[in-house]
Formats: sequence, C-alpha cells, structure tokens
Amino acid sequence: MFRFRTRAILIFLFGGFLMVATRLFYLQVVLGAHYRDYAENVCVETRATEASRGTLRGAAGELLAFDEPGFNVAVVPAELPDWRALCRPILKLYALDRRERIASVRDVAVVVRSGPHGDGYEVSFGVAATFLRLSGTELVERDEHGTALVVVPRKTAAVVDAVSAIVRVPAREILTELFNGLALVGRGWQRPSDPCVVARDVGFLPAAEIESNLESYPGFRVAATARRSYPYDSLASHVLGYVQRVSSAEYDRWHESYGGSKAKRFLPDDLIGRNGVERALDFELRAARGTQTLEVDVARRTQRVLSSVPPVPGADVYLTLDRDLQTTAEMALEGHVGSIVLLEPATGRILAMANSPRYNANELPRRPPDPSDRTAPMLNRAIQGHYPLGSAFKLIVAVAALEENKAPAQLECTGGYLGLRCENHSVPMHLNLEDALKRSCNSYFCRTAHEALGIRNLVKWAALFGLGQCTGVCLPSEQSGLLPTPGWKRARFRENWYAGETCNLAVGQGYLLVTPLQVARFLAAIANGGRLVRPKLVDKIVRADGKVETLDEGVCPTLPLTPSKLERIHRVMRSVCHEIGGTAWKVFRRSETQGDWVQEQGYQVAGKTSTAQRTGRGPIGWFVGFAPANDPRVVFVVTLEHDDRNVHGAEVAAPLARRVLERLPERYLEGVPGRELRERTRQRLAERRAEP
Amino acid sequence: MIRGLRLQPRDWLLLACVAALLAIGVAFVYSASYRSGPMGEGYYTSSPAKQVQWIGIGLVAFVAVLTLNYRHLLEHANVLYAIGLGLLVLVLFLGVTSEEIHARRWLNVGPFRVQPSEFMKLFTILALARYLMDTDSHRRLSGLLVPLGLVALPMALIVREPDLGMALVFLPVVFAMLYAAAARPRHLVIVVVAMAALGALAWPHLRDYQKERILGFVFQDDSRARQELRRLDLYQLEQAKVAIGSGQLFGQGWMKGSQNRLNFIPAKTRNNDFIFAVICEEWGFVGANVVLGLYLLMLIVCGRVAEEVHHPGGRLIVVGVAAMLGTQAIVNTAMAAGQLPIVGLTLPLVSYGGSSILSSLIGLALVVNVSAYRRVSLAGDVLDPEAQARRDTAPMPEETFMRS
Repeated sequence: MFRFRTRAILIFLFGGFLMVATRLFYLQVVLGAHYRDYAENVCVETRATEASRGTLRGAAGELLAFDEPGFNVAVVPAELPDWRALCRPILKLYALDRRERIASVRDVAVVVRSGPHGDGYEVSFGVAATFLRLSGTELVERDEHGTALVVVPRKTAAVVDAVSAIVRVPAREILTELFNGLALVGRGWQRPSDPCVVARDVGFLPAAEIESNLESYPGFRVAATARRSYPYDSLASHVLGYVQRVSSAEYDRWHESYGGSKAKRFLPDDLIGRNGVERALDFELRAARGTQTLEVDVARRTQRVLSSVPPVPGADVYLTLDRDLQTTAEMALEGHVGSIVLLEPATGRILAMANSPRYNANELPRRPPDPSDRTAPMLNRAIQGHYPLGSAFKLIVAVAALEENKAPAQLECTGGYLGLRCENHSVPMHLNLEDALKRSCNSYFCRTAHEALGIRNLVKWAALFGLGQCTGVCLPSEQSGLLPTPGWKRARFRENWYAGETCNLAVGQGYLLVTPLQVARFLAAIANGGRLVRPKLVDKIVRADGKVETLDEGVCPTLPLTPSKLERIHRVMRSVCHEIGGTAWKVFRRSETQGDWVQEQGYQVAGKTSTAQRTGRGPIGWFVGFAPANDPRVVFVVTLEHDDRNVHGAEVAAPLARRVLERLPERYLEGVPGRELRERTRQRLAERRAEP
Repeated sequence: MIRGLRLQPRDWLLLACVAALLAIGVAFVYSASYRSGPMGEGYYTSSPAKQVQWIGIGLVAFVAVLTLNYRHLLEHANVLYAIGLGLLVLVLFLGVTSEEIHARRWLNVGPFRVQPSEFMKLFTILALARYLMDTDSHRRLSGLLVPLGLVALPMALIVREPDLGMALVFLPVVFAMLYAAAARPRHLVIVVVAMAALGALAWPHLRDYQKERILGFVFQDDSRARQELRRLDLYQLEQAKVAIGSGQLFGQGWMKGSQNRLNFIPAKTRNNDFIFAVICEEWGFVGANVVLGLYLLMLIVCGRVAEEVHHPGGRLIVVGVAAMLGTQAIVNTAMAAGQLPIVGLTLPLVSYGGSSILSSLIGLALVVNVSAYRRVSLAGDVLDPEAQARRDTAPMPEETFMRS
C-alpha cells in the first residue's frame, strides 16, 4: 500500500519532469534553429561610422573650409515630462497608419492656438479623415479639415519654450523636429529612448547652458556633431559655397548610392554642398561612411566588434585661390556691386574671384539671405553675372581686323556712324587703329566691323575668344553669356540682322552678354599669345590615402594670332594706362594721393576701360587688362554695376584695379624686367638715407 | 563518525546527485553573474562566491542535522513549528525587502539575510509527519482539517509577505504526505475542489501583479491582452524562451550563451528564478535533461528510502522533502519554459540564494538521516516511554488500512 502510494507520487513527479522535457524538446530541437537565429541577430547591430568632410584650402595650403565640432540639441522623447500623454496619440496614429496602409502620416505642422485651457501648441498632421475614429482618445482631436490635432501637454510646452529661448530657434520648429522624430518611433524605426535632433548647430554657449542644467530641461541633451566652418567668414564665399541639410528630393535620389558609391549615400540628416566648390566637388569632399558590425548587449552597448569597414574622410581640395589677393580684391570691392577676377594667363589659374556683395557662410544656416534683396548677395557675379561688355569688345574687333588684314589705315570720326554716336574724343579726328583703340572711338570700330569685317567674321572671332560659351571652370551654375549671331536672331525673333546691330556688337552692346570670367579668359588669350586657357580653380585633390589628383583640364585651343599684330594691341593697351589721352591714364599717373605707377612698381600695366550701357539701369563699368604689360603674369577683370546713370563706369573700376595690383605679391613678379631695377633703386635710396 | 549513522549505498548516490547539482549550480550562477558593460568590459558579481559560502554553511548544517536523530527532531517538531510561525510573524513586522523585489520576505540575522519561509517548509513537514504518524484520523474527511490547518497557517502568513509561489509549494507537500499517510484519495479530491472554489472567491483579493502574472500566462499569445500585462514579465518570458530555444541540442557552451552574457535575460532573476533558462541556453537540450535526470534520480532514491524505512514518521519526512524538492524543480523549470505562470520559486540546489540552498540541504539531510539511522534504537523513545509503548503496540497505519 505505502509502496504503491510512494510510487504513485514518484510517477506523478516523473510526469512533471516529462512535461518539462517535452516542452524543452519542442523549444530546443523543433524550434531551436529559429530561436538560435533570432538570438544571434538580436545582439548584432550595424552602425555607421562617420568621418569628416574634406577641407578646402587655398593655394598655399591655408584652410578655407573645414569640419569642426559643433553642437546639436536633441530630445529623448522617453525622458520628456508627460511623454506618454504626448506620444500615445501620435504612436496610435502611426500604428494605424502602418496597419491600414492609408496615406502616410506626414506634413507635421505646429500651430499655436488658443484652446479651452489657454494658449498652447497644437500639432496638426496632414492625414486623411480616416483618423476621425481616433477622436475617442482625449488628446487627438480634429480640426475643420479633418486633420488630427495633438495638444502638446503643458509641461512639455514649457520645457520646449525654455530651450527655444536659449537656442534661439522658434518653439514650433523644435516641436516639428520632435514630431518628425516621433514619426520614426511610430514607424518602429527608432525607440523612444533614441535621441532625435531638434536644433542644429546651436553654438557653444547655448549648448553649455543646456548641458550644465540638464535637470532643468528634462528630455533635452546636447549632442556633438560636425559643423562646417569657414575661418575667413565671407572670404571667397561664392567660390567656396556652403553646406546644407540634404533636401528631400536629393535624398530620394541619392539615398541608395551617390555617384556610384554606396558608402557615400545620403542619410536624411546629412549635409550636402551648395554653391561653389562645395557643390561642384561635393562627391570628392564627401566622406565615405564606414560600417561596424557589433555585438551589443541588451542596452545596445558594444561588446565586440564583429567586423568593420573604416570610414574614409573626404578628399582635401586645394584651390588656386591666393588668399591674400582674394582678400585684397574683396577689400577693394567693398561698397560696390560687382566682381574682380584675377587669372594667371599662362596657366588659367584663378588667383582671385571676388564678388560683392558677399555673404557669411558661417551665419547662413541661421540667417538665410533675403530673396528679395536686389543686390543678390548669393550670386557669384564672376560666373553668373550677365553683362554687356562695352568697348572692351573693341579689342576683339581690333584683333580680328588685324588678323584678317582688314584694318583700315586711317578713318575719320565725325562723331558717329550709322546712328551710333562717338563721344569719347574730340571730333572730327583722323584715327588709325591704335588711336581708335586708345581713345575708344566708336565710329572706327563700327565702320571696320560693318564695312571691312562683316558680322560673320566678327562673330567668328568673338567665338574664338570664347564669348558666349561656358569657360568650364569647376563651379556649378556657370552662365554661358550670349553671343548674338544672325542665325540666333532669326530663330529668336524671326527677324533679319540689321547693320546697326553689327555696329552695336562692335562696341560690345546690343544683345551681347558676357560673364567676367569669360572676359578674363579672352584677355588671357590676348596676354599669352593666343592660347584660350580653361580657367582653373582646383589645383589638386588630395585623397585620404594620400593620392593626389588633378582635374582634367581638357584641350586648350590656340588662336591663330600673329605675334607682331598682337604686340600692336598690347602697345595700345599699355598706352591706355600710361600715355596722355589714354582712358585710364589718370589712374596710373602721379597725383596728389598717389605716386606714379611705373616709378613705384617698375613695370607697366596693359588695360582697357569700358562702360557698357544698360537700358533702364546705370552702366556697367569695366576695367580689364593684364600686368606687367611686357611680361603678363596676371590678368585682371574688374566689373562694377552702377546704379547712377551718369557715372562713367571705368572711372570707378580702374582705381580698384590699381589698388589690387599694388598689392600683388612679389612671387608673381619674379623676373619681370624693370622690377629688379626698382628694387636696386629702392635699396640704394634706403642706403643713402641710412648713411648720414 | 556520528554514532549510529551508517550511510547506505543509496545515500551515497543521493549525496552524489546533490554534489553534482550544487556544482552545476555554482557553475551557472557564475556564468549568470556576468554583467555586460560598455565596450565589452563586463564584470562578474560576487554572487558565485556568496553561493559557495552558503553551500559551505549548508554542508555544516547538513552534518549538524545528521548528528541529531530524526526521531528527536520529530519529538520536538511542534516546537520547531511554533518557532517557524513566530519567525514568519516577525517577518511581517521586521522583515526587509530586497533591492529587486518589493516584498517583505527576509530577516536580517547578523551579516546574513535569511528567508524564514524556506525553513518553515521543513518545519511544516516535520510537524505534519509528527501529527500523521501518531494518528489515523486523517482517513476521515473531517480529520483532514488538522493537517490542512497546520499547512494553512504558515501559508497564510507567507501569502501576506507576499510570496504566493512559496506558499503554493506547501500544497503539493501536504497532499503528497496525506496521500502517503493513507488518506482517502476521494477526500483529497474533495479538498482540491473545495480549494479551487475558495481560490475563485479569493481572486478579487489578489495583488494586481499577481493577477497580471496569471493572466499573462493564460493569454500568452493573445496580443491584445499582452499589452495590458506587465511588460517585464512578458519580456522575461520571451527572453527565456529565446534563451532556451537557442540552446538547441548541445547548447551554446558554458559561459557563451548570448541571451545570458548580453543581459537579455534580466539580471535580477537570471541567477535564481530563471537559471534553468541559462542552463538550457548554454548546455542545450542534453544538458537540461541531465539536470532534470539528476533531480529524478534524487527523487527515486528518496522513494527507495521511503519504501525501505519502516518508521512511519521517517518515511513521511522523506515523502514530504521529496515532494517539496520535486515540485519546486518542476514548477521552476516549467515556468522558465513558459508552461506555468511566473512565480518566484528557486530551482533547489542550483539557484542562487542562501536560504534556498540551506533549506534544500537540510531537507536532504533529513532524508539521509532517516535512511541511515533506521536500525538504531534511541534514547528519545526511552525519554517518553508512554509514546514508545503506544507506538510499539499500535499497528502501522498501512497495516490497519489493509486489514480493514
């Protein structure tokens, strides 16, 4: 009996063990592979590792743009006061969104409304009326359009307001970012404990304020980030460009791969270059993300690195810009509207590309430019400004006439030709080519163009000098300008080409539009004996692995110019600056405020002034040329937009050129004849002064 | 050696099982004491060292119990039972809570923290054995009131702590002992039905988390109910299930279980209530069955002892201890495997926890005591000649049953 009962108890207990063992068999043997798979995956996490964007540097290697540590303000939704009250309705929205596959929840808009409990923030979601069913919960309401409204709890609103005051970002923007972050939580892409960035690049002081008083701002924290820094603020801002958060269109295009590189693909928070070299070489500058496959514990803390692909920092881009010259040019332009381009004629290297007005790339994210500003500070006038060229075009007419052997030996200017008046010198006057160019006689060139050359030849030579074509400089949005031809006119206006228009073109007016950089290129061709160089802005690209690359320069066409004839042009251009009667003579001679240029610098400048009329606005003043005249090292193009119609543009432009050339660093002038002489004289003078 | 104590081969087998389980316990408490940290810089807590300490104390207690003849203990069972009740009352007033569990279950005794309810199980077994060996009134339905009352008293006090799991362990023990002591099965069934009815009445008075746990078990796979339930328990269950499953046939290897090492199984229950999940993960189906087999072997030995011992009190002690250990092992493992609701019950001899180790070892010491002392005549009987005389003349309970 007792034996039976003890055995019964034992069998009962054995049954229990058998039950457990059966369950274990099911879990471990039948479903074992599934669970093992799950356990192996749940502890593996792939994380992106970041590297910094490449730097932009000047010719001497000085930093013009680099990544420096910055501060973002992030919110951890789960740590917000009242976060459940805040999140529940939203998470429900998204849960429904996911389940019922209705139009995705987006277009978060934060509005300040006065409700029954006083003023507060409400968040409206642009979602379909399907959500009306949710109105049972106390926090989701709907407005008259059927969009769901979420009232931000008072405590949360108070914290957001406090942070908003510190970081100087409107509270509604912070809330919008927060709700965008919650959208990711709602979709299960993020956890409520993951921080989401609500204010970017807030500066050191606000970050310090928040970081040191974290308990006053529950839920908020400061996250380190990289911010693009431009140490010289607005220096060459148009050339360098700036960076901005990638737009949704760009993200859609490049979120899988960018330029064929998967590692450079964009994430929604990434920065992309805008304008300038930042945009043109964005792919090179952009760092390739690395990935790390990690074993993590339940708190997602790294335990082991299973595999890793290191990130590759972006390439450093060395520009041809000379920081000193750029600064000088920008200083000279201060207060004007226009641009100055300095170019090495032999190589096409752009030494300076100054535009005015400028913008400060460091301030841009916080202070976006006013789109209604008529001076258009974002415009890179050197490549995007469309200007009539004016009488500097006469250089092309002169070259064409000489090369085609159709230059009239002498013509009489009687103050006008074919209705185009000439008021640049006393009339009547007999002029040869040199005189006409020096005095910028309209009649001579109109007549030569019309009677001797003809429109076809004129257009041919203008095209040879690269007018009406992009220069191919490494910058985005370069404008091509416009070189009018009879064919173009027919297509555009369905009209024939008139003789007067040939005249207009001969003096650089009419339909002709050029960019300063095109002019610089055409002058470089005149200066260097006819090689139409391609303006070069990027000296070299140094990759993270040390490999140095240069951009393909393409083939530079050489114009069929005869040196002796070109020499005549050079001589005239010199006389413009240094002979009595030259249009820029007064700028380079001795005056009360300045010494004589040649005495001071030991070399001559070749130039051409030009004042191009615009209808309805003030003229464009040009002063273009190269220096030294006998051994061209620098081509300069000064372009100024004038509002005052009575200004003779060149009178303002030429002194700017002088101011820039005066500060031309010695290294550009090495070996210039006459230059050593000046040095020797200077030394001797200094010795003599030291002797007594 | 202890006078009169002669260890049988079956005792050595039992001791071997105990030693193996203790060793496995220490090994897995060590494995489960790992806390992962950032950058892979985890650390081990001091729990394995404490476990070894407690085993040391337990072995001392084991030997100490062996020096006393179980018949002496039976004589003084009522005193022990009263002391146990006193301690339980004390716990209600002076008890301390642990960091993890908000329930007053422990008493601070010097540097140690003991859980009187663990020892109360043994005292109750002794008291029941003492009561049942002298009478056969429990063969009547009304006679069941006294033994059930003996159990209900400590159960009520333990439920007050609250520690429902611990309290429920008393039930299989008392039923096994009553059954072994020849109570009528049909009476026992009536009692069970009555208790189920009482339980239904008691439902509204349960603590919220207790309800939730039971609901969580019932509605394990119902997603709507899940949301309403305590997330931690569900999370534990889920992680334990993954841990067990991922062990597959041979396990991920000792100290290599990812669910364990990476803290997926919550640290506070990993080395006690859920240690079986760690064993399953790291040793697999085979290892888990080895552990279950060791328990079964232990129980079979206990069964042998109960069958071969003729002292009615002794054999009831053995049945009680075996029922206690067996039920705890089954409930704990079934809970980890998701077959029973989560109750805070340890895996005897394996789980971390001083009182649990101590009470299990003392219980087994009682079994060995019964097994090894059986032929020795005792002074205790001489001390109470009346009882001795009564026992000598009275027929053994099963004999009366067989005769009738």
